[in-house]
Amino acid sequence: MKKIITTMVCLSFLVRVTLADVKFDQKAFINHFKTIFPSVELADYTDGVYMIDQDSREQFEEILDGIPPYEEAVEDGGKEYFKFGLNKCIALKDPVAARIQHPYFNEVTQQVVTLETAIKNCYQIQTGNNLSYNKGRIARISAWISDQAAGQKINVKVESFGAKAAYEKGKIFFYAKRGQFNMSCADCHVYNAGRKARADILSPALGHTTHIPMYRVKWTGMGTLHRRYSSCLKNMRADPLKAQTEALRNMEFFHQAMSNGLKITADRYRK
Amino acid sequence: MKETISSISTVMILIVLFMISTQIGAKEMTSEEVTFGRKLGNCLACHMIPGGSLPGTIGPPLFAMKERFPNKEDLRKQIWDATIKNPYSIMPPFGKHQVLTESQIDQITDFIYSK
Ligand code: HEC
Ligand code: HEC
Repeated sequence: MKKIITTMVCLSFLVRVTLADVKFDQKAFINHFKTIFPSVELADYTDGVYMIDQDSREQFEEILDGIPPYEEAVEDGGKEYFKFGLNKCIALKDPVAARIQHPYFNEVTQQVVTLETAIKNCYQIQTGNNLSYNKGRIARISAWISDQAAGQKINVKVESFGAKAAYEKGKIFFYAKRGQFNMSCADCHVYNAGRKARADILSPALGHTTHIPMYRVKWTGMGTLHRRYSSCLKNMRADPLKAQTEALRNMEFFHQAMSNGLKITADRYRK
Repeated sequence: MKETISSISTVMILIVLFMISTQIGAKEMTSEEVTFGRKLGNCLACHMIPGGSLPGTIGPPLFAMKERFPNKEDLRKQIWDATIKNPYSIMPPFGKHQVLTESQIDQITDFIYSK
């Protein structure tokens, strides 16, 4: 009996993986948000909550018109990129390509490689030192690399069987209920996007990965996408997981793919 | 002997003080505080509730509860485990997942029921 059940579970996973189709998923994703926000242009999803709320949008624009609080840190990230020889690693040599080509599925290791894992890897090779994943140097360097690709479009490729399996696992993670509060990412950022949790407007997941690493007033600094993942997981009273663990890299693979075609932006300010 | 007596009395005084302070601690938590507290019910995160400020808009406003829940026990059940009515509910199952104690849920039920 147990065997039959495991075979059935494996089979259903296989069927899903062979059917995994990013374009199809993304179309449904976009259509969902179109029904919630009929007057919002697709391109404007890069602005997160600021595309919904007029009042906070004005504040956002004012901050961008001045000297945004992360500007100096991003410049420092550029200096650090050269100082530590990150331009010597093939994966990061061309920063524009580095931003556009991550995350990708590595067929040899059968793992999703994110921009931050590539930066940490290269940094270790060049300097012999460790780099932590959530904030500080890695966020500055990652932001500078992403700035170079501003205006280019997110284009995550999910092609091979292994890539589809990773994508599918990431998608399941995103939609699954977890933690003491029994919530999913989709509960807030898909089904209830635009509504308020206390005074916070919930941003749509579409466009979430166009301005990463993001600056957050609450952090008084920048943080990587996985830092944000763990804050939301903590808010759900779920296991926050370590940045760049397989489950979170798979989720990033799915999460970024949902924003395929949207422009990467250097406007990384968030409340 | 004198020493034992004095140390026993010190311990007694400490116990009494401790009991008084926990009593005060328990009394300090009003039903409203348990309902609105961000680390407790935090019901305002999602619901407008009369008397509460900065409510969220994820769930329906909570007032006229006696009309919506003629049986108070049904209201308690909704708070204890919202997934009974809606398996996909975003509302945390406060009792089932032990987010709150049974007596805190009683307090919140009373408070919401009075709205
Ligand atoms: C209880 C609601 C809730 C849940 C569940 C939740 N989040 Fe969030 N999340 C928020 C709030 C509130 C913010 C800050 C406002 C905003 O930008 O949406 C936020 C912000 C974010 C941001 C930054 C958006 C930006 O524009 O910079 C990302 C990315 C994000 N969440 C991802 C996730 C992921 C992934 C999950 C699941 C692991 C998740 N969230 C679960 C409430 C939630
Ligand atoms: C994260 C969001 C969230 C939180 C926190 C939350 N709720 Fe809810 N609540 C909802 C939603 C959404 C509904 C609508 C029904 C559903 O989807 O389960 C609901 C429904 C209800 C209902 C039923 C209303 C009706 O007329 O049917 C009651 C009563 C209720 N909530 C009470 C509470 C109380 C009391 C608390 C705090 C202890 C609380 N809720 C916390 C989201 C939430």
